[in-house]
Amino acid sequence: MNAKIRYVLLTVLTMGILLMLAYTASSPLLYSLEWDNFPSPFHENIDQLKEQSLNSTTDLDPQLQEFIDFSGPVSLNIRIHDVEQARRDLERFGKNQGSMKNLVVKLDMNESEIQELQKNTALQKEILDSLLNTSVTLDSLQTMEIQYHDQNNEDMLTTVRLRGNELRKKVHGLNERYRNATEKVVEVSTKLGLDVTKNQESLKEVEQIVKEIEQPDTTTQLSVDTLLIPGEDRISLFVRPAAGKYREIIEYMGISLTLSGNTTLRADGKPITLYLDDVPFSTPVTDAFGYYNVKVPIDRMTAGTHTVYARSPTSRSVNRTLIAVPVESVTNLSLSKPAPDGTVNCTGFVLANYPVRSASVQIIWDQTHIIVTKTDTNGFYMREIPLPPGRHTLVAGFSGDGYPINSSESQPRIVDISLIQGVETDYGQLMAAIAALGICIIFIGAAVFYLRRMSQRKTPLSDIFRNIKEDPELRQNSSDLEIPGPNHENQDDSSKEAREEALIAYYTRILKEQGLSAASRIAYQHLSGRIAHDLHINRHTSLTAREMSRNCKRRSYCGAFGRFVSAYERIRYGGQVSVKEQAVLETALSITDDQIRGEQH
Amino acid sequence: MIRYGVNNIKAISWITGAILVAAVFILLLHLSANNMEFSRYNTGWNGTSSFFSDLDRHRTTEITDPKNLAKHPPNSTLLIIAPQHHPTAKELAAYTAFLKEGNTIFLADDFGTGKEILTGIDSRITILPGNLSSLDRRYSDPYSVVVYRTAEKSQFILPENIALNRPAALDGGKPLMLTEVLSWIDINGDHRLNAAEDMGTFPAMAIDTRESGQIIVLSDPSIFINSMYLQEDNGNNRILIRNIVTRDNPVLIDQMNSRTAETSGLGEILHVIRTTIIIEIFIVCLLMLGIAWAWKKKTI
Repeated sequence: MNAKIRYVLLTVLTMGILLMLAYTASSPLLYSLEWDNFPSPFHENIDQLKEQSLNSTTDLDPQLQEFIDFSGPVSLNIRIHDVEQARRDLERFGKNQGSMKNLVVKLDMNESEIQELQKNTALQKEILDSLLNTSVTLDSLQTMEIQYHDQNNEDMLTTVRLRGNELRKKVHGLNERYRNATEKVVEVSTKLGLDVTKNQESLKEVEQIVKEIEQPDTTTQLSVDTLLIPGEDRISLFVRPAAGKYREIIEYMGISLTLSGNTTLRADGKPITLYLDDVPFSTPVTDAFGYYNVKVPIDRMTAGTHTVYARSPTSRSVNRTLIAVPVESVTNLSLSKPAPDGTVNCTGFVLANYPVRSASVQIIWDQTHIIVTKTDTNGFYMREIPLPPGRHTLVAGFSGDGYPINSSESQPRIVDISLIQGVETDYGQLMAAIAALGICIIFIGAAVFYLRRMSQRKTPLSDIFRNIKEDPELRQNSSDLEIPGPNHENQDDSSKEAREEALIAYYTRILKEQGLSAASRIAYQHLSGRIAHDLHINRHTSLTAREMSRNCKRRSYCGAFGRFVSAYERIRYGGQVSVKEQAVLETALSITDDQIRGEQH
Repeated sequence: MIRYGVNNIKAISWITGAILVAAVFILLLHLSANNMEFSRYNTGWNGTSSFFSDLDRHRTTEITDPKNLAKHPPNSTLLIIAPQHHPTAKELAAYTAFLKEGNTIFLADDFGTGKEILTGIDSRITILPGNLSSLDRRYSDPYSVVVYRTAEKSQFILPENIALNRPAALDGGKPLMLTEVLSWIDINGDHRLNAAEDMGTFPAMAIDTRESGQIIVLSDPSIFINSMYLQEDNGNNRILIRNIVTRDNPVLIDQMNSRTAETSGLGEILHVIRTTIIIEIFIVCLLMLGIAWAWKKKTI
């Protein structure tokens, strides 16, 4: 490649690198955040997200659909007297209603169709809520009516009937209001592209519910609770459902009444104690109508049949039966890597239909040692066990005692504890240490090699003369030159004298035979060899005479040598072969030779 | 015809040397960086190089061994960011002892092993599975949740709100920061609100008192990554981080379990060199040897 082109390319590359360095100097990031697009399970790339428009309205569609769909199942559940499911659905309906209200405020959509939707669904929810409460109360009143009728308790019977009539009057017109609200919901929802089937179906259900309330079916027979204990004060208890599994919710409810003369009083704010197998487990308080209601999950109780009853301060309900259905369980055990002192961290969980809380777990190692620990609220347990050196088998077990849960046991886990305590093999660190050691060894080896090579390259004087010997131009005359051996430094002064004298004689002979140019070269090679030896200059033969002169420093002969080199260059390369130049050369040669000798002495 | 003399050759040698040095520098920079999640050596969007670069070296101590945790000054704060290894018994014991002495642990984690650490130190706070999502978001993704300060007091001054990136939800403890009501836990991971997912407010930062120390849990370590940390519109995030790391009390950074300590390739070797004094001394000696060699060559 042309030298010009090479230099242009070099310049362009240099400029490019310098520009790049200048560009990244303030923020030395080689990778642009915007260009780095690989997906991550931990986070999203904000720079990518910023390029997308913020449009959260599409997220609303599922929520709106769910929201308008609530009225369907709620109305149906009221209609079929599934009170609990209707209550649960209404509760969720209420939560979503709250979210919708906030949503409308958040999105600043007060004047929008969503606001209209929110208003009318709220009305639907209110009507359904009212219908549910009325339905439940009427059911209770009907039960009581039959009971008091059987007991010929006319006062209570009249009270219950009057209350029923009041409630029936209240539902009048609700269906009309519900129809209007539903029509508006359907209108808005259709515009938004939502499915309105369930909402429309709720309209028929509501009409039917209102009709049944206003004109009750006289043939309907409810089961009579004949187990109420006779007396002036009465308390009832219903348990729903009557059977359940671990941590399933059981609802306990009833009414507490007090008979005072001819007046039936509702026991307002009275504490009711619920008993399970004669052990109190909950204390709800009656509301203004004498009702109490509490939901308690099945927790620590044995599987099988249990007796439940309620007590007010002055009365006791009949006994009810609650069946705890047993479920299977799974116990899991995981072992950590043994610590240097032999400690193993045992973790795991006990799971039935739900995680088993506060359960006792037995960890048995080698079938001889038993350690007991407990699960936390999430069913997890953890225990450190110090183990002696050797191989051990660990098993975790849950007995199920005191729970409606069957026992279970984990798979056996085997762990080996090293005999050498306190030494933990960390292969990562070991590899890093080996790599570091390897690097050290390589570099030390390189340093040693270099130093040895350097020491070998210290040019002995013999090499200098060998160079002269190997010069084909000079070889023929080599017999005239005394070449010292490797142990020349131990030679006595007389042999050195002889060598120095030989140089002058040699120069003179070459001068006569081959002329001044060849003689000056012989003289230069001889002097440069001695100087290189004195100044420890490697490869002096590859240096030019001027470079040799420049490297000659801090020695008395350097000045004379410089003058010798100048004369040598003029004669050898400038072709100035004259008596004057010869005189200058020989003078400088003589002085340099003397001063080198002086330095060496 | 242009003549290239000794002076020109000298200049070219200098330029060539400069290019070689620059190339080596860039190569080293390239090889010493990585793209590992949360790594302090990752200068990309998902690394934490900027956060670590801003830390005050005089007041910040890195904890690489549980033994070192006991040597800390009193009233310290230990930052555990994105733990990934299962905590050992020794580490858990060290954390517990640390709390007993009245110090604070600040744990930032969503889907790592933070839950195991919390269980191991008997905290009442737990990290729930599933992505916390919200309609109240900073960017066009329901996972970029904005959470708001509650009335609960903590030793750190909290900004009014912060933006999170794929956080989890917390349970237990006293909430310090909560989502708006239009939030849900995206259990099925479809980024949408479904029938089985309830809307409500969820804690993303909570405090718990254990022994005489405090545990503060933030359910998102992503506030420390470069793309979140450097965003101008996430100024409140930086205020929160600054309030944690620039208090008068010493700050300890956990490097035992944290993903921030992750390295690979040449970066790992450089990390070993930087953190091993003997090797560091050796490298300095080697460099001096090299300089001496170069100097000697120059004199010849």
